[in-house]
Amino acid sequence: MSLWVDKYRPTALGKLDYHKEQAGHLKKLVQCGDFPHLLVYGPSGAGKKTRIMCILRELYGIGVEKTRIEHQTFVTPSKKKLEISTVASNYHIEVNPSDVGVQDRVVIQEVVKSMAQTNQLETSQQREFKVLVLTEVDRLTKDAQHALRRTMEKYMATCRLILCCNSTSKVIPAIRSRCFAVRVPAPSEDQICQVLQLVCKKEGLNLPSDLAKKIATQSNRNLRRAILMCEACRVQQYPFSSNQDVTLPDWELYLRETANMIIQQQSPKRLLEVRGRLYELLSHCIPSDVIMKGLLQELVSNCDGEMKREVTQIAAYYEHRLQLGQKAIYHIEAFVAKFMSVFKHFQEGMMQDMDDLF
Amino acid sequence: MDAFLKGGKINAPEKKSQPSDSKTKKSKALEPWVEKYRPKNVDEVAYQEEVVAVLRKAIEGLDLPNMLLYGPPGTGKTSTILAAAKGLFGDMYRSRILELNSSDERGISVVRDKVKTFSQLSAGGKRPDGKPCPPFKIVILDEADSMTNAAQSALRRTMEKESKTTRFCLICNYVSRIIEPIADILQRRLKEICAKEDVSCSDEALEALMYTSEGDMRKAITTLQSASRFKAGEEITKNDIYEISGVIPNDIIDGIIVICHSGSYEQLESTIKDVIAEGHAATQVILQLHRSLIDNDRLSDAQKSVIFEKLAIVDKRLMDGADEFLQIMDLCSLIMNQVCKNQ
Amino acid sequence: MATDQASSAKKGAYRSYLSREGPRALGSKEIPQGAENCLEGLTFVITGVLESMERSESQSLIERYGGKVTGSLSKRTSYVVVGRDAGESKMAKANQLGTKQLDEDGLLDLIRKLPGKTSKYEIEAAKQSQSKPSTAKFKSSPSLAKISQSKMSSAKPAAKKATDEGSSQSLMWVDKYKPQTLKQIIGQTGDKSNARKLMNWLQNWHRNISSGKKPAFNRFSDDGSGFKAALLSGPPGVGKTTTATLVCKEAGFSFVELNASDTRSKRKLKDEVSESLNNHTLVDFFGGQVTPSEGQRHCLVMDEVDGMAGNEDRGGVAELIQLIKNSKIPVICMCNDRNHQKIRSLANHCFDLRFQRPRVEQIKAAMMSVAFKEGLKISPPALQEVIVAANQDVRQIMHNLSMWTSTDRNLSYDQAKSDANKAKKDAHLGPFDVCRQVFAGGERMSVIDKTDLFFQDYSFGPLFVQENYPSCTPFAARGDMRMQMKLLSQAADSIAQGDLVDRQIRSTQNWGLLPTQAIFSTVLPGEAMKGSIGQMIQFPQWLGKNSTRNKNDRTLQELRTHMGLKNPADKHEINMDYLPLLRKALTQPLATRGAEGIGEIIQVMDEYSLTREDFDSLLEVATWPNSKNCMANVDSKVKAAFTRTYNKSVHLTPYATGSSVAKKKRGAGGGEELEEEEGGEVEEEEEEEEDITKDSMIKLKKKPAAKAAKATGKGKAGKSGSKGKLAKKK
Repeated sequence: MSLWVDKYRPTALGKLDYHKEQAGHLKKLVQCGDFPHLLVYGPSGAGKKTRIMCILRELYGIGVEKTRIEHQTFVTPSKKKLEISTVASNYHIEVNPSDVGVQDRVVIQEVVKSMAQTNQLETSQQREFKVLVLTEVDRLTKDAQHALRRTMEKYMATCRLILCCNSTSKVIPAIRSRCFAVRVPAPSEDQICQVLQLVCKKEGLNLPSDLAKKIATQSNRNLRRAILMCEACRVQQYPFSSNQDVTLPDWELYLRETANMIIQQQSPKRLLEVRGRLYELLSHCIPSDVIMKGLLQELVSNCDGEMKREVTQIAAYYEHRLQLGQKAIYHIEAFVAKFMSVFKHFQEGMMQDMDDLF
Repeated sequence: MDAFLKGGKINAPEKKSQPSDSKTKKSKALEPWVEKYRPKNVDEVAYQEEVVAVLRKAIEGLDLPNMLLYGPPGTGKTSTILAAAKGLFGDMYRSRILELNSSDERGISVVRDKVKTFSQLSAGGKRPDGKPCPPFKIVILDEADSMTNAAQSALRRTMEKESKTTRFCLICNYVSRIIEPIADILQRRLKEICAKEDVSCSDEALEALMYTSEGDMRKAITTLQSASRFKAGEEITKNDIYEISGVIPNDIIDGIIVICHSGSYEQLESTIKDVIAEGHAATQVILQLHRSLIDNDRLSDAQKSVIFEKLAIVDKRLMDGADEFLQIMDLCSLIMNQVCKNQ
Repeated sequence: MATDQASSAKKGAYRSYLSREGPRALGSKEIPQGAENCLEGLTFVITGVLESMERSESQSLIERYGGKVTGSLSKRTSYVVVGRDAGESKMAKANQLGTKQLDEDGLLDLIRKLPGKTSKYEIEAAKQSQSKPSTAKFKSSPSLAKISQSKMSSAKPAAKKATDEGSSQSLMWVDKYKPQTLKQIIGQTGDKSNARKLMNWLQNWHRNISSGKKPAFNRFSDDGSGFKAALLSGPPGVGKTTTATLVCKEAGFSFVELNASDTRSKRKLKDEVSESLNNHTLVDFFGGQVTPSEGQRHCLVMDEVDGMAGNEDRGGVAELIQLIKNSKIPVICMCNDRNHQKIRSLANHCFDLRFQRPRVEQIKAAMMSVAFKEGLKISPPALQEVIVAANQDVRQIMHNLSMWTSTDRNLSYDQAKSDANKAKKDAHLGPFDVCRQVFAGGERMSVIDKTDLFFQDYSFGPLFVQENYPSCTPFAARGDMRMQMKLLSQAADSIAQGDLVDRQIRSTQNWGLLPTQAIFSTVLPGEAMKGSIGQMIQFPQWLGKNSTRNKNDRTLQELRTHMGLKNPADKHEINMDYLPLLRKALTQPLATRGAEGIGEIIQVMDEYSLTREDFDSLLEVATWPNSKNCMANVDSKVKAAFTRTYNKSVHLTPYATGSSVAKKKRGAGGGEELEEEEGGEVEEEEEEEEDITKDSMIKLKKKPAAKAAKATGKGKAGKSGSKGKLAKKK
């Protein structure tokens, strides 16, 4: 018994629930035999991986769903051992090279090489290439991306790459220009509602449209989250009522509370308390940019006018430095301290010397 | 322009490695058009008259200096030098050329071993068929600007020492906007490829192609190829080109600017959220915002300079991997601030 | 009521003390040049803030002219120097005693006016040197302990002196004046001293052990009878090793010493040390079970036991404890850090003797005699400076003295002070002290000095600064909260900036940037938050939190791998979206339906290929401080039943259970799992080969035709194997 989100995942291009036109084009692309490297991008929970699996199935048939987990070891030039686990079928292999951190270049080179150097049997019946799915390409180091670009050309004859990432901003132009880019926009709230209704119908449940709407709004156009939330509601209470509370994940509540603490009081003592909570968030592996965004959203809603812009600007400034730095907590804390300082100024109506803060 | 007629021939040497006929057919279909339509001799190089004139002289004189080719991507630097080499050496050009680009291992060890040994070999002054040919070899270092510093300095000595037997040709990208007249030639070329590949493409789509590729020939051809596959027989439209090259439809960009004029932070926030959710890349958003704001008459120069300074900062931050939503919000809230001041 | 007022007044005073600003006009007044020793015999008490100099400056100024500065008022106090915000209680007492009060200018005037005197020490010294040739036998007072009898005699006759000097020149002072008897050890002369205790313990050891006395775990029975080993602990340079060797010598024990330069791994100790311990038992045996005679007694000295670390000495401490348990001879262990993790377990088995640093006076006396022996002129205040600067480390004092006087035999106060300051910098500060100093507003420090603080430990220091900066109350804020927040934000900014520099340093190995980092992560925050630290210096949480984060990250990674076949989300998505629901789905049935829910849960787990361990780690990662404990409502019987049920059935997982190093793979194809299990084993071996033979595969590629032929030959066998594997089989 798996969760709904996995249970009702579409497996064929024809069965996709939204972006049907695009699905049609993809189908054509697969059929014409001349299959380019793909770069699939879009926000989290938009259905990128689902589409990739559908494409693979379109390419190779049902056999591609017979997957296994493999552990592979690589040795870096400096004799360091790297281990990475991959999901593979006979036709494709899926790797997340960013798992190994800064040494991702080695993984890319080795995986692609070992795969590209084996040919498919009986090319008459099958495709003559295998597919390598690389996930989280935007998290790859620049080194690895450069390595990738060469391998893409070199092994074109025996393998195709499907790259998957959230945003193309962090992918070097050289790779972007060598791939056929497929944008997967997040489903609209209406589309999410439709999918939720569909899932509930298959489960034999009755989902009030108000609740569906509510879930869709809460999910931020993230379908995965929406379906998971829907199931969480089911666990909590059934039959559904249309005014039922949609439970947010604990971490999100925790983040909101933290933001409210910042608003309530600005003092060194409070800063220390907030630091403790930030540590808690970070040690639970909540990505730092999610924390920054969450804080900003809550903080901004408690400011008005000019302050909103001010705070946004501060957040953008510190988030950038966070990416450059090593210890995320320093930068988030600096952001909180700055906000406290600015907010205090603002509150006490000391707008005139706002300028010497910046 | 007769490059296209001879296009098939370029593949001749590569065919040898393919064991069977059926495979050749398939691999030909798979070949990127960029390779397929690469110029075969110096005269075919599009819109580089000056360079071509110099090179033609060099080929006649059977000599070639050490060269540094630079320019924006896709203007034919690699094509030029390859074509020149073919002119100089004829059929035996493969053995006389060592081509290394940034994706090859190009650390200091490679320069020391591979490049040095290659350059130390001496070359004969005659072709197998008796025609004279220059007694040197060419090392082409593509994307030389991404070589490590150590490798570059190791290269320096080799270049001086082996000048008798080897010529070096460094190619690097020099990014700047492309000049207008090239667009003409590009368009003609694209049309020819369309005809050759039997692809129907509206004039509007070609315009869009010109716009998105910014004069980069490689990008234009690749985009065209992708679009033709994607549509598989149907006519390629403007929107297809935009979609494939990742360009954001203008109404979205205009929408952002309108929201900025409204002065409502909440609306701005939800708009930006939607733009991100649609999967548009932030770098593309600011690029297009830039284009549309630079001609905006409602803003004074002083305001524009404030906005564009921020735009540059945001671009740099995005390059460093900062979060897209926050950065665009930062930029747009500033634009909003500037615009509303005006009113 | 009255007491209330008093206490509130006191509180107010303390608060104003906390936010008391530093001197406002540092260095504004010219410090006069007074006559030598003009303040000789006068005692001063300083209270409040002097405007033109720091407290320590004024103190050293007074000391420089031979005066004495004490902390509290007494009848003997000659002057009270009163500054701004003077302490109320002191003023009251001064009025009561009728002590003369001076302000800052008064003090400076005093120095300017008072006539110089010849130091009484110098007079004395002159006297002594006069009397020296006449006295045939120079008697040393017992307090001048560190000088051995033999050396004493060598100092006398002028004729002998030259030759002696020649030989002694080659010795370092530390060795030259090494105590030769127990009595000469500084600070270990009393009856209750550690040396005495150790002596008694050692002498009674055999008696106590043979009588089978059990160690008394009582603080008050401090003779240590019953313990088989003694543990001497204390800071370096207080004479632990000297004590141990001298005690052994005087008690008539011969000893074997092992220190950090010897490898002390488990095996080494077992082989070598236990051998020597056994030796003794044999002698003992042949000795006819009487108390062994003097010559036969020996003991083991383990020096620097806290240095038993790292791979080399693995298991050393544990083995040492075993040795001590079975030992037939006394063992003396020594260490610096009594509270070290490893030592704590050892300490339970030992007679615990803690060495304190000797008092300044004790050292001073001994040092004066050494100085005299070496013909070195140094005034007592100067010597005191030297001693304090070296942190009462006798060994270091000797070294410092010997170095500074190698050129000049006359050490004045100023010289000593400046030299001592140099030595102070050399002294290593712990990160706690560094942190305190960074924020301490009191002392006047140059930027260079503050940078030096960073370099005390540049990997730890910044962490400490970051941890503690919010608990500072900055002077500059003057109690204004808005200002304080601004300063706080500035400090946080520069700390963040320091982190950027740190990243640069570590990623590009550009260590030249370290001073830049010093400015950002230590000097600037220190400057902004300069003030009083309200509480204890905290140890940085970052280290702990970071390792928790890494642990959770690994857990998530593992979960993702395990769930990899079923869902394609990456680990962050799993963490943020899946886990909240999974946690509910996995615990709710247990909580509501008890044992009946078990089957359902196991179904879910099997579907996602989760193991029992994953179940626990999943709950751990997904639990937040604000969420209620899902397992709290679950009956412990149900929990046990769940574990039993889970273990009873066989769970096929598509990945290796246990460590990922043991590569156990099982085919996870639908339907044919059981048959494939063995096939999976074979596959696994092939997999390993693949890694090794990567190079050979590259060669294979060059003859694709041959390979294809071979591969098709075996093609049927490997339904699931890729062609690469097959080709390799042949």
